[in-house]
Amino acid sequence: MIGKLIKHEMKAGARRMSNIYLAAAIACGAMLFSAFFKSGFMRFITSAAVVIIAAVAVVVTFASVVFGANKTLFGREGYLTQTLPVRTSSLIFAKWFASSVWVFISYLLAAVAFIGVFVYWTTENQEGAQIYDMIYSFLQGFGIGAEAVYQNYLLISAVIGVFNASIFVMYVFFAITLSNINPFHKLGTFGVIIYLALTIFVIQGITYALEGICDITLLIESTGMSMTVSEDAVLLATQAGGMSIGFTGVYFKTIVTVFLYILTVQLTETKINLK
Amino acid sequence: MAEMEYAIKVRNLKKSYTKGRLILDDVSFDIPAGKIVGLLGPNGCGKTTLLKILSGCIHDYSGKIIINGNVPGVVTKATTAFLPDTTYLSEYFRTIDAIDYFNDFFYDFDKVKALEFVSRFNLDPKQKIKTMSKGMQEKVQLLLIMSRAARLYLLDEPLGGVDPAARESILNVIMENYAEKSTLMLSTHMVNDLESTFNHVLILGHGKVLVNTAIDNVRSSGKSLEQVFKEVIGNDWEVD
Repeated sequence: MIGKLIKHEMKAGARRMSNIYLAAAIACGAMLFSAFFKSGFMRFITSAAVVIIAAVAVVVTFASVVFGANKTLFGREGYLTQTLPVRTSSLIFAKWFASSVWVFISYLLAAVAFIGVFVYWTTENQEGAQIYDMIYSFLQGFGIGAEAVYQNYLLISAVIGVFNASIFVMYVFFAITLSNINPFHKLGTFGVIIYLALTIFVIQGITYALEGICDITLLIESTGMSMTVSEDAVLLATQAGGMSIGFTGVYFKTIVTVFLYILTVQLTETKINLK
Repeated sequence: MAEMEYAIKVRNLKKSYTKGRLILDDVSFDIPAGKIVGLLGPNGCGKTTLLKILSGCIHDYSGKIIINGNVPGVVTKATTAFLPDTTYLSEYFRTIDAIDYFNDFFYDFDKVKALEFVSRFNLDPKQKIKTMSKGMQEKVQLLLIMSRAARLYLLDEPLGGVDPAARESILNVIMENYAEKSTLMLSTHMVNDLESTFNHVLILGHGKVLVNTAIDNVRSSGKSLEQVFKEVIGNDWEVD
């Protein structure tokens, strides 16, 4: 059943997101088409459109996650989803998974659009090559010489970015669920924002406190990657011509996300009143 | 009588939305299996709340509920068909999408029967729900529910807000298509019109069960169902 739930969630997401992705594709096409003209204004307008639409796609995706979850779980459509012969845990997992996939796709779209616009504007002129040289010199100034180091750094940062987006989706689900149960529902839709902000504030506060106690860091060096627990990890990485990424928050937020998932399922199973 | 001979067993059910006001106040009743049950009562007496609890749409209550031998959950949802009094399909759905959705999740759903209903109701299978009139949306929801071979049907005001001709047509669809030996609970205000349809009646009022009996017992008293209803509801009937 979980496969069917995910299938229908993906289809519903596609229906909600199709217009904005179509707009992004048209803007990209227009940008590429503008290369045939010598008009700088046309190139600027189409490039700006790509950047704006890609940024809007990310915002629309998050809005779609919030409103979609609220409507399909606790709004009118809840009369369908809550009466399906599936476990609540499966229902919420499917929604979380599909939402995370759509957030990932929108992030990817935005990244490709930004990089695409950057490459589009820098490859055709001399200044472009100079910008690449400047970035490379800047990184070398920090002692980061090996290309593999910042390739791995970018790759792991991107994975953590997607991870953070998916845990944010779970925070949203928890806040929406809380705003639909007695007595927390009194704040209405505004409650979602309040509970989400409180959830982020508390979790981020604990994360900072934990990093002060036990700073788990991933060291990325030209010779490979290693995990370390050291207050001087950043310094060590820089001295070795490498880079570092904090992992305490990743571990803690993974545990918190599992906990919030269980709590969201529990609240939905015991406290929900469909209006 | 053995447990499985009851479609619904409710014990000490309490439900409130606001502190201090019980919409269902320590309600207990049994509904024998295979009956067509009229769920009656004035507005705000808890009919919709009861149906939502039985269908699994409300989880925040106290008391014990057994549906066809099982506590509410995945098993009862697989065998219970609920028609709420509101549009619950995604506005992006086309009729055919809704049929495929039900076909994916409900093992007792008959897709062929659903498509026959689409023709009978003159619906366009590719028309989106959001472009349909309220009457058409209700038809789609009704055909989805009545294409299931459920053990328990819970219909919340299926005849509310429709003209007499449509009312008769909807009632015929329900009576011709609900699965044999299953139990059908139908909430309504049309006491007079539906008296001959029911063979069991459950009247709620003031958060309590006022009447829970076979319709034959009502008839043997020499009174009509409407007369009994007015007697037990009292003044509430007038404000209804």
